[in-house]
Amino acid sequence: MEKEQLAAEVKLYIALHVFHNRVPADFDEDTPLVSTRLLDSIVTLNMITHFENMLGIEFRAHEVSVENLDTVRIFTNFLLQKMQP
Amino acid sequence: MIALVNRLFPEIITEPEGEQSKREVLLIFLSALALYCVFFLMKKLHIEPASGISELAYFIVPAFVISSFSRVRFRPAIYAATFVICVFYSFGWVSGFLLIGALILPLVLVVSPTPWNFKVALMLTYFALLFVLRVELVYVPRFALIVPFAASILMFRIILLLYELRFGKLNPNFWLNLAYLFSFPNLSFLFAPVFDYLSFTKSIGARGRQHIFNRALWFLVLGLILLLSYKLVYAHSFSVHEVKNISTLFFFLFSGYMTVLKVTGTIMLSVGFITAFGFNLPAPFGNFLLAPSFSEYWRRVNIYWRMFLMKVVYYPVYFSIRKKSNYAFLISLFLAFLFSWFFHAYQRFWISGAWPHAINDLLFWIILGALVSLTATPSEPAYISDFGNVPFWKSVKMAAGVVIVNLTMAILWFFWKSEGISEFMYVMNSGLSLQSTSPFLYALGLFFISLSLLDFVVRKSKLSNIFTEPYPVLSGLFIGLLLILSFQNPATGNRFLAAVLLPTTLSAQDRERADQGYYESILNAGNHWELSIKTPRRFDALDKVTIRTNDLLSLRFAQNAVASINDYTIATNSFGIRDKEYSFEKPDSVFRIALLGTSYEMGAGVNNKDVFESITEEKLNKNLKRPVEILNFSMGGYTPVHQLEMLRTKAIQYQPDAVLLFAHTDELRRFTGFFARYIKNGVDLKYEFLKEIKQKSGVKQHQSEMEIKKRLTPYIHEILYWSYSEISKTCKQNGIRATLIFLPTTSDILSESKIEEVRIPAEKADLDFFVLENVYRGISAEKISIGPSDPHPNKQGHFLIADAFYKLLANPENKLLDK
Repeated sequence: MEKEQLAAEVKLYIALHVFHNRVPADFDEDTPLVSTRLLDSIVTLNMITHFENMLGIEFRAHEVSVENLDTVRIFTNFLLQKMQP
Repeated sequence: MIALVNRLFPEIITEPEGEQSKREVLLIFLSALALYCVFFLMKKLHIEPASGISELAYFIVPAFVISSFSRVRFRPAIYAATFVICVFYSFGWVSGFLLIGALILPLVLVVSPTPWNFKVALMLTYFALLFVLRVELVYVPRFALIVPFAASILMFRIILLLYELRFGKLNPNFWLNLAYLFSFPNLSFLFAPVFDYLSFTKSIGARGRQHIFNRALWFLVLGLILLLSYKLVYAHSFSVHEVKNISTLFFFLFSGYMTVLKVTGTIMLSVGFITAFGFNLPAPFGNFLLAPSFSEYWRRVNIYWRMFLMKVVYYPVYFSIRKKSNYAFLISLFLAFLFSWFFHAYQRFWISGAWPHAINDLLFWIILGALVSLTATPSEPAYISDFGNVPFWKSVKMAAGVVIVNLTMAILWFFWKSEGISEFMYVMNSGLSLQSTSPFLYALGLFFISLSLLDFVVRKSKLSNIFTEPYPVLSGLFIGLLLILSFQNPATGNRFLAAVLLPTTLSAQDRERADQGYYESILNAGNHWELSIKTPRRFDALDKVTIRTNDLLSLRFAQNAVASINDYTIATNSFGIRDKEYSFEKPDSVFRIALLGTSYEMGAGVNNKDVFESITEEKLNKNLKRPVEILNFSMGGYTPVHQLEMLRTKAIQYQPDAVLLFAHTDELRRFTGFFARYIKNGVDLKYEFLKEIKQKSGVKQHQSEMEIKKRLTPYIHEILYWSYSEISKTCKQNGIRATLIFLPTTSDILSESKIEEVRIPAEKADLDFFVLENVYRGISAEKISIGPSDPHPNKQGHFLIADAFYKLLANPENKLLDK
């Protein structure tokens, strides 16, 4: 999967499950999600499971952190990194 | 040279750092001024005076200026150096070195090139050693002083360091790792926040210096406001005995629950001070008092704590069981709350030295965990993003949520802090016996409507989550207002001003406790200097005139010593008692009395000449034909066991004609407390009887004081009677008349049962018994005691006691001056 396509998938997931389709105008790929507590633990775990199933990857507990999940861009990059063999 | 500096202080950030402009230099000095104002306000408004942090301002503010002018790579070292200076200032050289060593050693072990498992084993061994010192299995005075501080710094940070090390995320920069441990707010606030290692090490230089300082200032200002609000609530808080109906119950629960303001305020201050040095830490709290659900409350109430639990418990458990159980989410959440209980108890153990084992402590976390689990659903909308075009009913729903969450939390809070489930049930039943519910319901309704409207306005105006963004102008405005407030006259009769401006006085509930336990305030002086950064002057000075011993006396006066304590002076004579000089040999014509008492008789809080013993002696010699000497062998905190020991080892040498023993209210309870200290301190109990009691009760030095007291309680009547009997026996053997005088405390509501507790064993032991009845002539406690938090009699109080004491002695019917 291409980076742009993956980023769009992440954005879509957040739009649906975090913002419930009422996406703020200033939301972009660099909007902090974890440090601003927009992403709570349940949504985070659901999102991880969703992308694990979609991309055939597996997360480890210590990877669930701000440095891997805080923005759409960071999360997308981390997913791409996980997808590499 | 440059190469060496570069090697010692490697770059932390990759962005180039330019020279500071004139505007930036000005802003640094303005920031330093603002920081100094925070310290000034803390001192002037008596905010957390026991923390002693305002005394460190003269080190912290210059260090802040140096740090602000320096390059980012030097800042962690400057921050750590500030800690070191504060340690030496607060602890002195020897203890200071020990504390620094106690922190450096585990850090060196963690970064050493050894396998991770080996490091974990080393850390466990190290904590086992700290445990031995903390529970005083081996008592080393200097370690007893530093271990609570070292442990409070290390207890969670070592766990986080090892966690990050496991996954290769330990920062190679030594100074950053050192600064993570060498954090000066920990010296003042033992319950400092558990800030995340990665958040800390990655935070430095993350954004502009001034932006970070603006955040720091905002945290500090919020901390001041929260702590002042707590002062205000505390001054008007309700006692458990005042709960009579639902309104008083509500105010009682609310005032107790508002302790969260104190916790939040101190954590805000700690984070503010750390952030001021350039560590751009996240906000430790969201506006949790406005949380509309329990899960939202948990997300906002202590973000650092939650992050810690998620990292070390929740995620590891979830990921290890998610493929095995459909309930992985619930199981990991439940375990996270169980560990929250465990870690709170662990934290309290390191700080207080005792493991809290009340069942309500565990139940509190289980109930909170259940409430959070029930309301935490994946479909819950992201509340804080829900701005703008929202209908009013959502605000009504939110207000209802806030009311329910906070009422529940206030009840749970009381449940957590109550002495036990029976006390909780008793108070709740007292409050819920519905007499007059209407004022309470009106108030609740008004609050609910106001909150709904406020929420609606806030959402419309997008002014949510005030804790996250810095507002330098608003911070400055608040500081200005607080400065104006701090210069107001507190003596205008305005209760609000008095509560904010004056030092915190004990609340109704705590005053009751203080009255019950005023002896402990003296006896626990040791704990005071162990656990506060600056020794309170009173205890500091007391150390100059007293000698601590590890025997049955525990504490005695030094010979010919003088110390000024606050506004009074303690002077001892060549015998090592607080009294004037007497000849060792008793002149034939003199009637000599040995007075054995405690802090009241010792004259805590007044000058030598104002102690009632001294006034009485003078009055007797003026009015009676026969010279009388009263030698005062009293000492704060003495119990009948001390009095027996003082009589046998010292007083008897001075050939007294009479021994006057003083006792006060609540003799048995404080006796239990002091006996427990003997056990904790490993004192040789000397007498077979006391050793037998120790054996029968099963008390051990390593047990908590609470457990020791509990085990001793059934035997305390026996010990009291034994002490009186031994005193009586010793006096009879030496031809001395022994009398016990019951002196009520200044705030006593005297009951017959309190007197009987002492009278019965005293008379059984063949001691004469007298009560100084109506000694204070109905004058209120505040007029005759030293201060609101110190119930010892002041000069006027001693004058009244002296008058009653004189009358008792001079009355020939009492035959107290007969040989």
